[in-house]
Amino acid sequence: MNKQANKRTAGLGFILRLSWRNIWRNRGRSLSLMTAIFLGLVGGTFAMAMITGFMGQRFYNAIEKQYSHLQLHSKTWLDEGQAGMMLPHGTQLEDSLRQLPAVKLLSARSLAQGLVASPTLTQGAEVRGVNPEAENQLVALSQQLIAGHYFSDSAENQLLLGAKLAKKLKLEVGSRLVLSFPNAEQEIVSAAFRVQGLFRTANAGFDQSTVYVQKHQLDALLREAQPVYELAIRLHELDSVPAFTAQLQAAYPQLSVRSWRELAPELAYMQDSGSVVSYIFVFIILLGLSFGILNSMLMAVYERMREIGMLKALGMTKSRIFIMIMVETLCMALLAALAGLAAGGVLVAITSRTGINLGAYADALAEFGYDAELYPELSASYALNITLLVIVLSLLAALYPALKALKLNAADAIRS
Amino acid sequence: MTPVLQTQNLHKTYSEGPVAVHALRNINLEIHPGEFTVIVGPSGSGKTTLLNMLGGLDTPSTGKVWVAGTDISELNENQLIDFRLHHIGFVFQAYNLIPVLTAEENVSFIMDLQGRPAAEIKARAAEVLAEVGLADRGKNRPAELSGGQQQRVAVARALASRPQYVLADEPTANLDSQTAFNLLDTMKRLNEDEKMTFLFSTHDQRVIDRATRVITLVDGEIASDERR
Repeated sequence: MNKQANKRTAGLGFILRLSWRNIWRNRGRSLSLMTAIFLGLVGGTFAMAMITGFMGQRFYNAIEKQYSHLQLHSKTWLDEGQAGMMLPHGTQLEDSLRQLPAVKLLSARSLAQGLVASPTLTQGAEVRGVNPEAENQLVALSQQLIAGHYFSDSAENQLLLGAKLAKKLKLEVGSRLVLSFPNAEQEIVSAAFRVQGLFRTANAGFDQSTVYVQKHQLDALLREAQPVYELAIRLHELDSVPAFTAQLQAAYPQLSVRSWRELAPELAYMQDSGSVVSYIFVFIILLGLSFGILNSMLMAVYERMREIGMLKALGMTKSRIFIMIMVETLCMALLAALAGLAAGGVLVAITSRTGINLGAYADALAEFGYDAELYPELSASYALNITLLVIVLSLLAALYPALKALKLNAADAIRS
Repeated sequence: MTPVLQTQNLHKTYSEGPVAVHALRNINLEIHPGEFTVIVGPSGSGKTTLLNMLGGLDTPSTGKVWVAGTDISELNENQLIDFRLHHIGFVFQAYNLIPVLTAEENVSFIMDLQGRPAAEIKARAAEVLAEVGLADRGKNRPAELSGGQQQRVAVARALASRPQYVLADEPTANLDSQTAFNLLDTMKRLNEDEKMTFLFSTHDQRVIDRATRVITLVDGEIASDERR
């Protein structure tokens, strides 16, 4: 048994040494191939980190600044969206949910579908009545202001307007406008508001169709006593959202309880498939590089026909020749790939601190829910997965040249 | 004395389209330990084919090749490779050293593949390099050695693992006269000192002059077998 094992490992040191030196035999060719792998991995790593950063940012913006983890509505509001279709016993529900240990933050909102009228133009919009403090805690609304101020204690009717909507209606901070919407008795009520601030979220569609007012002012116009149309909740743990949503839905079957996955299905899809997409991206780069590896190793084998034949004649078994070609390929690919991963990692580490300013494309990015400042990020498993991918692809690429080497007839190769 | 190498009714036939070419016909040979044998004959007489059979690089169409009691014509490809590793030394016309290894490493690697202990490999490599007059060139790579020195390294490589016999295919063909004489003297000395069996395929009269036995092949058959 021991003798068998010794026989198998005999000469392994020699094979490894020969493989390593063979890499540097044609320095120019090896270095150009390694440079291609290195640059491919730097580019791939950075591109993947950008994609991950974009996705993370999109997710963060959507969850932390817009949807929260889950929302409760009355089913009729979702179907028809009319005034009066609020959550039954909304304030009691709000209080009892606030007591639950899993709940971190909660904001009760009044909603109304109405019209925003400037002196020259009118536009449809959703009016969101919010408690300034609770809303700010939940979605950091004050941080999303690009002009003016957040709600103050003044008794005046104040309003926060999406920057896109303001531009469309030709309004600015301090402008006055009129909000009109139906109240619970289905009578159209109108009230004048002063633009207190302009906000810009990462969702251009939201900015174009939303105004924020203080909840008590909207409630007074709706002529309802503390109605709650929407309860937005953030839990302590994102992972506990599915179970908590299911629990809540079971406890309140007459209500609509929707997690962020249902509120923003495109976000859920992105979350589920996002890393796969970026791995496919890197895989395509590596696949291209593996043809370079195949070509390079094939040339190396053809150049060394006589030598490989001689090794076979002198007693190097097929398996050892196979290992020699594989190790040579693997060393070259892994060395370049690890250097590329390291350089890409450093690039990501630097830019994840400084951020990448994409201000020139801010408007276009906002249309898709992205910020103008991008912070690339990489998952911890990335390096491991890519290393495994490089190992598998380079071994596959080396397979054909290695099999070519094995088929050599020793006697013919020596005389070739 | 038991022969180190023996053939029995060795035939090798190649097919060239519909025509069968008889490269070797009914070769019966016995090579004894310590012989310094050359196989001569005109081009196409079957020298290389016979050497391939005797070296386990090719298998006969019919007949047997016995090496130290083993019928190598019955071995499969992997068994043959293993057999060559442990029993046969080779010297080729074109030196065939590995350019990325030093002279010492070129001499050592067969022993490495045999799985011998590192200390033994190092000592034996130094010993055979000294025997071929290259004790001080062990750290040089082939490109740093002359043609004659490279062929000496190849001879040292063939001898290092103490094979049953050494097959040398036109070893002096690429060497100038003086270098060829020196190499042949070295091989002859090793033949006499270490009782190493050498079997050459050659046209070179200098080799033939030193041989203790000359086998002449004509049209794949042994035309004469002369002992001196």
